[in-house]
Amino acid sequence: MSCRHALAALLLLAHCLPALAGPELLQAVAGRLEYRQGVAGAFTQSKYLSFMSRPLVSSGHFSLSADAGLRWQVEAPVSSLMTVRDGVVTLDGQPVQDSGVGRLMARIMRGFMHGELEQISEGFSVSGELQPAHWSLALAPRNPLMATVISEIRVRGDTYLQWVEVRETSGNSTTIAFSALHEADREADAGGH
Amino acid sequence: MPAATERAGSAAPVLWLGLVLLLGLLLVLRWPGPGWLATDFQRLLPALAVDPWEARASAAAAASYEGQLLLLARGAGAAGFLQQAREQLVAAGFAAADFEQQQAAAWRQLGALQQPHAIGLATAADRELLASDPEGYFTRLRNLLYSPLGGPWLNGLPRDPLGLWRSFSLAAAPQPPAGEFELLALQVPAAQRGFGRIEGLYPLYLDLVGQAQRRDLEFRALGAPLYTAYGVQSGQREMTTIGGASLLALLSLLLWALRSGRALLLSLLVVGSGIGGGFALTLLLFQQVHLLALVLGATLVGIAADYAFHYLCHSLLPGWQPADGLGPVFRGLSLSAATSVLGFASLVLLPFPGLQQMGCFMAAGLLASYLSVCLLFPGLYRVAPRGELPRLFRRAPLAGRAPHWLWLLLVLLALPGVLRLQAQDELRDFYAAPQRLQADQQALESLLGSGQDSRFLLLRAADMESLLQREEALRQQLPALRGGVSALVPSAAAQGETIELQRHLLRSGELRGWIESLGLAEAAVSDYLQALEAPFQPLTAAALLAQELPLGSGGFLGCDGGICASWLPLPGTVDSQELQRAVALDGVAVIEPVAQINRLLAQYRGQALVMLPLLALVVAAVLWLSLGWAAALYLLALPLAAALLSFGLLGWLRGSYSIVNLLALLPVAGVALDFAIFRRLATAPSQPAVLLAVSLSALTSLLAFGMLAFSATPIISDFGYSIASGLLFAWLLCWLRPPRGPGDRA
Repeated sequence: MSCRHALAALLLLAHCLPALAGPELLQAVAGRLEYRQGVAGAFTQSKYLSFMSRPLVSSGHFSLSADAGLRWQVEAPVSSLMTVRDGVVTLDGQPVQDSGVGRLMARIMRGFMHGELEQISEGFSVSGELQPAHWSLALAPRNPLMATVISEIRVRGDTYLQWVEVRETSGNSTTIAFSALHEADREADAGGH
Repeated sequence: MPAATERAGSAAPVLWLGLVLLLGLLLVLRWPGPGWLATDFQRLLPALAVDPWEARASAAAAASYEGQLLLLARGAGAAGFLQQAREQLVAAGFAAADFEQQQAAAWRQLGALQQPHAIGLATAADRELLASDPEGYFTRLRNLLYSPLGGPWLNGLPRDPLGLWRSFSLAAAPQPPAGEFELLALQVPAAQRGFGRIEGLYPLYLDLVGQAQRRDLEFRALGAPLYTAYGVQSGQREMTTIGGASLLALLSLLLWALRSGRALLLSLLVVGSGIGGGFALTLLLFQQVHLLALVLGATLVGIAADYAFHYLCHSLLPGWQPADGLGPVFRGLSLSAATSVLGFASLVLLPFPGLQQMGCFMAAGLLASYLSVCLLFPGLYRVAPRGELPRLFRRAPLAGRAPHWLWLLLVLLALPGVLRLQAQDELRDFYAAPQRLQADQQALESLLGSGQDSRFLLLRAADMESLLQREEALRQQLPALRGGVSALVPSAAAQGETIELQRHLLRSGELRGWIESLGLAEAAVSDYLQALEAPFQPLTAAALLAQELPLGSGGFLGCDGGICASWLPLPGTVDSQELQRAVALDGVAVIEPVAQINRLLAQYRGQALVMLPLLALVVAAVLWLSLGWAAALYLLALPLAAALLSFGLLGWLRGSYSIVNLLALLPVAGVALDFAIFRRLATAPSQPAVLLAVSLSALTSLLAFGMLAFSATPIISDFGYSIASGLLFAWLLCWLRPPRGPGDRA
């Protein structure tokens, strides 16, 4: 059998394999993830807007723990701190009306970093693929109202969540790349970076 | 002659049938449509009793929450649970499937209308900060834009680079409260909120509570439809259990006493004719029947059945023949019907729609019952004479003649209790809510940080611009206020200020510096800059208010007669001092619907207190003309004594009374007067038949309505208690022999 035939047979086999549906796929991803009581790391956020020639980029550090919630410290180009704790979102110490954006972000991060994937499958229909080294998922909002704003959220990772992309129906999108992920020292991370 | 009587006897039922058909035909021709049953308490009250702007505002405030349902779930899987709850409610018809989409579309439409005028739209707080500390404002906005929360703000940058419009829109939109829980707001469709439909909501709610418990979730629900559903469901359950038990006992009693299926059927026919006739005539005259008038009218059973019982009980006397017909009872029946019909009909003259309906219902119903007995019984109740009463009633009455001092003693006994009575005009006392719903309400109010407050603010001004400015001034005083027209359309003055401020920043270069710092090309914001330099075209309320606004927004009531008005809901978090400051503003008033209804209840009660003696005077006049003043006094003494004793007992047991207790006196007085008239007019040999008839009447009424006293709904149990105690006293007193009458002469 030539190499070409072998490749064709493998592709055919791959097509014949049953595709994993949402819950099974999430379960498989959950099996690969490493969960920690607290997770911390660095991020780079890029916002691609149709009316701007270059993305709006910010970077900083974050921490996520059951006690302190999500702390999102932007360090460049400005310095600001967003927190989401017990469902309350603050920016620089002031509660903000965020139309659910902060809670959605905390939900996704908790889902993949704390293993609370039930919340993900409740809010989104899930599709995607598993590769030996990494996985990638596409989350489509179930809530019709959310679907009018967000068309899809793509997430990618290995043992940790590494990358998130939020695609809006307007054509704009936001990507967040995580790096230097590590188990958070709860005391230190609760105090912020 | 007998042949003529025979012919008249056979023609009478045909005449009755003709009357029924005529009434039915009229009802079909003049049927008012689906809104024939009124349940709104306000409809019972005189229209002029409420300021028209207050009435409009009350209606608008009620409409804003009457269909709303708020569900909260907390715990793992809360969002999925609420989604399932939503699907179940939609499937059962208790939630509009596209409510959220409709509301979102309404907000989008509102945004599209605002967009051409967006540069003039800003909150007062943003305007103040931008004017006093532009750099502070820019820093705050820049931090927001670079945070994960900045997405929606960034999208709007080309037309709203300062984020003023977005901030203004966010302030107007209802914001979900923050917390680790999931919330779902639904709207129960208007078609599902009526009787016969809404009651299914409460069992569904209980089912959801059970589902949540099994999934270890906290689940709470809040909304007026839930309370309505509970009220209707518990009312129906009580009607089935209490009504079923009393009906069974009632039928057994009648069969025991009358021992004739035909007698039983005829009695039910008379009662049915009474209720049907009352209902039909009230609907024909008023084009609407209020639920309370219907309930009170249904107490006609007591009096209507009376007429049948007297006829049937007299047929049990020795020597009775079918040919006797109405003879032995005609005078009593006619006098009783005349006094009751005239008495109740006089209520129509009072200026209260509720009392007018009740009076019409009862007068028409009694007339129909009376005519039914007169037209049907002589022809249809032609049974073989039995010649014996039930054993208990075969002897002459046991009690002696009532001495005058006895009446005085009864009054003295009742008086201390009556003097203890205090008027209680509290609407909330009429209804009962299950503990579960009350607990949900408290939990939700605590989580959402605001109490349910039925109060609201009513604002009035000479024109639209003044009204908007007044709202803006009020919002400065009470920052917690949400809603209002000015939250969608600022006053022209405020829009002018906002634009002037941005022009100033443009001239100073600060605005261009800000735009450049974001990396925004000038071309991207060219429309915005052009609009800023163009002549100012403020957004007007007229353009916006022509559209259907999202639920909970707006609050404009209209302009009429040189007055423009709006209403704003009052958050439970506003303290009394803040409120006093707000009310001190010109043209601002706090409206308290519950207090307003309580005041009207008090007014109604006062009218009833005047109306009852007037009613007694009308009846006394008829009796005086027919029987002389001494007999009139005696006949009135029985209902008065029964009412006094009932109220005296109420005084000792509870110490307070309401309009409900007074209205219950209407049927009690009617029945008691019947008792007295028949006792007074009956001949000595027919007294046992009269006592049997009044006993049957009292017992059937006690069974039918006295059992309402066991209802879990305070307004129904209160009504039931008053009828039961009044009838019991009337029945006990009627055993005392009346003063000399025709019976003694016989």
